[in-house]
Formats: sequence, C-alpha cells, structure tokens
Amino acid sequence: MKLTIRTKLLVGALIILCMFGALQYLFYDVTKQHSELHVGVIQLDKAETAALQIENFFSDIEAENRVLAHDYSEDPSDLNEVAHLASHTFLSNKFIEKITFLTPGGKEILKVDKAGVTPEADLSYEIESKSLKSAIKGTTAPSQLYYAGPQQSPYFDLFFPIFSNKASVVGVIKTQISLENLWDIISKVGDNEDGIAYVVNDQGLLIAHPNHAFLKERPNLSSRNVISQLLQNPSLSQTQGDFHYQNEKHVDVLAKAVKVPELNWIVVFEQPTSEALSVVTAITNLLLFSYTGLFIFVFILLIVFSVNITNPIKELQKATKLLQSGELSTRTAIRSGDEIEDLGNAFNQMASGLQDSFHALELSQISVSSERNKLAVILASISDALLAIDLEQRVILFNKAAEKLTGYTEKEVLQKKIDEVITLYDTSSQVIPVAQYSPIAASQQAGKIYANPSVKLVSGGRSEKQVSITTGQIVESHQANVGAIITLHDITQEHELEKMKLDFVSMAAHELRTPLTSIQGYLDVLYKEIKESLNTNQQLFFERIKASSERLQFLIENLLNVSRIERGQLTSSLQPINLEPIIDQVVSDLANRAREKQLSLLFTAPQSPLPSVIADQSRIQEVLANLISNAIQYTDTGSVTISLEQQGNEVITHIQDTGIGIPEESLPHLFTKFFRVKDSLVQGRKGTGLGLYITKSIIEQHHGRIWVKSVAGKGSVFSFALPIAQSSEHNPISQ
Amino acid sequence: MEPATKKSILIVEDEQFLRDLYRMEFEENGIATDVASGGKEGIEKAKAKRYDGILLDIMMPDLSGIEVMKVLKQDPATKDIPVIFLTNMGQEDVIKEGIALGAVAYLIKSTILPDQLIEKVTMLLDQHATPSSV
Repeated sequence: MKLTIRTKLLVGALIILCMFGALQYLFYDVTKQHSELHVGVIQLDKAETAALQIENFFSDIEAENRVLAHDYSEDPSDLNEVAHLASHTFLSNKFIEKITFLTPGGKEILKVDKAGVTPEADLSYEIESKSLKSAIKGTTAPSQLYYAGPQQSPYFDLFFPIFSNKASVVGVIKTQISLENLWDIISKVGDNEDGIAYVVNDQGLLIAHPNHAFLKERPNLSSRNVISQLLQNPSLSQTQGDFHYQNEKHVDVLAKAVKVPELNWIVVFEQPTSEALSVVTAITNLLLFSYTGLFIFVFILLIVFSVNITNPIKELQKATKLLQSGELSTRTAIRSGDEIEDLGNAFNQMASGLQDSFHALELSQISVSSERNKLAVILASISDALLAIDLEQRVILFNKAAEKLTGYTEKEVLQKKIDEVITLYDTSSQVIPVAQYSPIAASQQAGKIYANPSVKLVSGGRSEKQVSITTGQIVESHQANVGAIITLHDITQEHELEKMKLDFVSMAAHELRTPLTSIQGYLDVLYKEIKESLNTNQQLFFERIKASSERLQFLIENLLNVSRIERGQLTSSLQPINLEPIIDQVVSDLANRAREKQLSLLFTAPQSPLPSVIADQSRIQEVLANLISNAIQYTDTGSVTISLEQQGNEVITHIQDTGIGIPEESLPHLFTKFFRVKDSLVQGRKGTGLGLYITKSIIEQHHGRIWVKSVAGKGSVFSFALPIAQSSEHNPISQ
Repeated sequence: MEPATKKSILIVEDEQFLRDLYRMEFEENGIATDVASGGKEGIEKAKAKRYDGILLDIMMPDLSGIEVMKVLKQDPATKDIPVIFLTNMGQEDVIKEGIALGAVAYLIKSTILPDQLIEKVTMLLDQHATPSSV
C-alpha cells in the first residue's frame, strides 16, 4: 500500500491526538470523582447542619416542656400558675402554638394558646393515639403531621410525659408546633449555596421545603432514592453514596440526606447536578476547549508541515519527470531550508552533470556519426567486397561491392553464418572449409591472415566468380565481437583472361607441335636415308636443323608445362626411382651441347648406391634437363658438375657450374615466372624465364625443396632435395 | 616375313603429312598399315577389318579420338583391339580419360621420333596381342 507523506503525517497526528484525548479523559474522570466526593461531603455537612438545627429546635421545646412538667408535678392543683408559665413559653418560643395538659387518661386539664387559656367548659378528651400511648409509657413522642387553620398549615404535636416524684407518669403535655416555623430554618440552609434543604417525616411526607407551593401539594417523596434508602434502612443515620434524581422542577439534582434522631425525620440537601459539579463542568469545558484548540492547532500545523514537506517533494517529483522526459535544463528552486532543499540542490547538480555529459555525448556522437558516415562512404566506395564476421562467424558487415559480387543484399545476409552465404572452391574444385579462410574458432592467433590469390566463389545462385581472398583476423576483438575481415577481390575477368591466355598458349603449343612433329619425323627419316651421301658440312647442317627443332620442342614443352601448372593440371606419378640412371641419361643427352661450348659436363656418381627417391621419372628428367641446360647456357668456360648426396630422409642433387653466377639481388626472384636476371638480355643470354619456375613447381609437387647458392662471376650451385622412398612404400603413389 | 605373322594396324590421323610418314615407316618395318583421315572413317575401317592395333589421334575435325574410342569399346567386334593414343594433346585430364577408356598406351607425337614410335608400338602390340590374332 502506498501512503503519501501527508497521509502518514495525518495518521501520526491522529494517533497523538487520540493518546492525548485518552489522557485528558483520564484526568477528567479523576477530577470528576474527586469533585463528586467533595460535593458529597459539603452536601452531607449541610444536611447535618439542618438536622442539628431541627434537633435543637426540638430540644428547646423539650426543655420548655420539662420546665412546665416540673411545675405541674409540684402542684397539679395550681393550674393558674401553670397556665401563666405556659403563656410565657409562647413568648420565648414562637414555634409553639398551643400547650395542652392531659391526664394519663387523656382528659384535657388545661389548654393554653397564644390567645389565652381555654375555658374549662370547652375542654374535652384527647383522641387516643400512638403518640399519646408512648408518652403515657414515659417516652416523648411526636404526633402525625396534620393540617389545620384557615391556611391549612402543617402542624404536629409533641406528647411529653409528666413524671411524679415516684417516677410515674402523672400526666402528658401536648405541645402543638407549627411546622411553618421550621421552614425558615430549612430555607436558611443552603442560602448561599445553589442547593436547598428539605425535610420529610418518617413516612416520607414532605414537611419542610423552601418551595411552599410544592409543600402545599403535600407530596410523599419516599420514592426518591435518597429518601428510600434511609427509610428502608432504619440503622442508617445518613445516606451512603451519591444520589441523582429529578426534582419537582425536573432538574437533575445531586443529593445527600441525614436522619434526625428520635424524630426519624429525614433532612435532604439537594443541588442541581450542574451546579454541584460546576467545577467538573468547568474543567470539562476547559478540557474540551483546549482539546479542540489543540486539535485545530495540530491540524493547521499538519497542513503547514505537510505543505512545507510535500510541496518541495512534489516539485522535485515534477522536475524528475521533466528530466526523465529529456528536459535536461530542468532545475528545482526549493528554498525550504532543510534536507529537501539539500536534496533539491543535489538534484540540480545531478541534472547539470547529466546535461553536461549528455551534451558531451551529443558532441561525440556527432563526431562519431560523422566518422561513421565517412567510414560508411569509404566502405561503400571500396571496389573490393568486404565482409566482417563476428566470433561466431556470422556476417556483421557486408559492403556494396560484396552485394554486387554475391547477389545478396546486406539485409539478407546479416547474422547469417558465413558458409551459408558464400562457398569457396580451390583450384582443384575442392570446397575450402570455413575454418581455413576465417580462422577464428580454429585458432585464436591474433592477426592471422589467410590469403589465396585465386579461388572460385559460389553464392546466391549467381554465376561462379573467381576471386582472390584475404582474411585478416581482428586483434583483441572480443569486446567489439568482430572476428575477422574478409576481402574478396573479383578477379573473374582477369581469371577469364588468364584462362583465355592459357588456352591460347596451350592451343598454340599444340598447333605448333603438329608441324614440328612432321618436321622432326621427316627430318629423321630423310637423314637416315641420305646420311651416307652427305659431306661433313651437310652433316653439320642436319645436326643444326635437328638441334634447332629440339630446342623449339623444348620451348613448346615449357610453355605447355607453365599452362599446366597455372591450371593446376601438372601431375606427377610418384613412385620409387633411382636417380643415377636418369642423370646419366640427361647428361648424355646434353653432352653434345656441352661439347660445343667446350665445357666439361660431369656426373660424379656416389661411392655407394643411394636409396630410391619418390618421384616421377619424366618430371625429374625435365628438372634435370632444365637445370643442366641452364648451367651450360650460363657457363662459358669451366665445367658443369652433377653430384648426389644423402642427407637424412632426402637425396640431394647438386648442379654446380663455373658460370657467370647470379647477382645477389636477383636470388629471391629467381624461381618466379618470367623472371630474368637483369642485363641477361643485353648479354645475349636466351631464355623464356620459365624453366626455373617449372622446375620449382615440379619439385614442390614432389614434396621436395630447391635452392641456389651463387657468387656473381664465380658460378652457381643449384640443389634440389627429394624424399627417400620408405622401404614399405612399394606401391606407386599417384599424385 | 610370313604373311601369317604380319601384323596389321590402323592409323587414324587427320594430318596428312604425319599419316603418310607413319604409314611409310610402319610399312617399311613390315607392319601392314591402313590409314583413316578422320574419326568416322576410322570407326568404319576398324569394323570392316580385324586389326592387331589401332593408333588413334585425338584432335580430329569430324569426331574426336575419345569419341571414336568409346564407339570401339562398345562394339564387341572391336572392343578387344588394343588402342594406342598417338596425339599431341598432352593435357593430363585427356591422358587420364584415354587410359580410363582402355587404351594400352598414350603417346605424345612430338616427343617421339618415327623409329622410336615403331619400336614402342611393336612392343605394345606383342604385349597386348589378342588370342584371335596369334
């Protein structure tokens, strides 16, 4: 779940507020309890005060009665004295309305009120009551409440026993007491307070109340909880606990009550709850107010705080999005003076860093792309086909010339294996394996180059092409994943021309052969037929014609050999042969030429017979003829010596002459086609420049070696080595 | 020389000078020689008469010696006659083809003089003499 900072702050604040609220409630609760306790104590005190005053009130009356009783008991006959005393009582105690003296039998003896003494005739008997009975038994007892007079005012009577000297009850004093007077006492209680005190009798009837109207309704309040507890529990002298009830004005009040001893009246002190607990209310209000204030304060703080925090964050977020969309000039202007401002500054630094590096990158990209364009133009303009392959030998570059050469487009061949794109054949029409011309997987030798001046290329259904191939392996290419660069140079035309040339040479040579064959044949026949009749000169002419035709044939054979070599058609049938007789044969063939130049042509046969070599007899004959006739040709005086020696697995033939030698600078080119030593033409030396080329080709086909050592002016030594036939190799090997 | 042992050969050669030269030489050496100036004529003559050997040129205007050889080898009457290619075609592939077709030898005209040729052919014919011709 994703919560915004604002939400988190809000939740945090709510939690704090709740905790604070709970604390406040706890405080409120304690205060309220304490306050209620305090109020209860005060209320009880008030009620007790009222009860004490009622007690005092009765004590006063009892004291008056005691005096009257004492007076009466001393002389019951002197009623006037008693009446007089009683009249005084009214003066001292305004609550007493009427005093009546009764006999234990209930007969009225004397009745005095504020108006005076009631005449004897009006006296009667007192109605027998519970209170009277109690008094006769010696206990002071109040009567039931009753209402009398024009105002129907509440009254009650107090029956007080009169004891004789012998402690027997001789009469009863009945004192009528107006309760209205009590009202004053009650109404004074709690005057300064907001509460009131009221009194109910032991029946629960209301006997005193500041509200006189309510009093006149004469309600029985025994159902009020504060009263019923005391009525139901005679042992209790005061209420236990707090009592709430609705008073006659439907005001919720809090009350305490106490019992007045002996009378069993109940004094209640009640206060409107709101008044009684005004402190609690005040505290509640204060708490509520402060809490609301706190709430609002926290809320405002929260908003300010969150605005302070989230706005910069939002700005940062907006800036980030802008930056993300490529608006690199985006900067923030957060001035919150806190960590977010630091963050904003860091963002700005990052953005400007990014902008700088991006700018630099753009610049370098421009230069790279211009370089790349340059490179692309160069690649496209190269007339040779250029292919780059990666380390898995897949094509990754294919220039325009390559497209033209192969008939494929770059799109078609990219990521294809190179051997799916091109197939190469060597001169003997064998497929060149991929590993050979793109030697990546095979060997990790950096920079290794494969080159072949003439291979056949087949690709994409195009007609075959003849190409020269060069492969360069890329050094340290693992990062760029470029394995090798293959260059294919289209030599199809040259190849065709070369082929035409070879065909022509071959054809020409063949065409030359036929008349030459006729010449030689007829010459031979003619010579045999007429040689007997020829003189020495004519003999010499014949010899020269013959030698010339042989030279012509030798030249033609050389031309044919070159054409064979070029086409890869020069073949040798290799088998074990002995070199000595072949050398003997060639030496005897060329003996005439040596003799003509007065040179000594010598074959120094080895002391012990040498092993056979693997060779084609006719080819070796050609080689020997070439080398020896060369030696004769380039030697004017001295000798040509042929010798054999065995070295390891090879038999080496040396042809040594004492001729003009070969300049050092010409030695490396000596075995190249058409190469002729400089100035040899000037010196009148004949030759096609093909002999040594053919010789070298033949020797290489024999897996042999050929080399020359020469000192200009002193002579040369041409040597060739041929492999010795292994004893097991009896079968001729066809090459 | 007894007529019964006199060998007979057919020379198929388009070049008249050589044809005449070789016939002259072979006849002089006691070998009955017939000549044909082309491939087709060569086949006709080869089928018409039983020869001890045939010297066959390759480069001929009407039918090449290779083609002639193929025809001769397909015919039971001629397939056993020893054939010697006598040509100036020195190409290895042609030589190989000729040998493969069953020629007993492949000789290059320009490298061999007439008397050398007769010596070689006589030797070859002796080596490859068919039972019927003995």
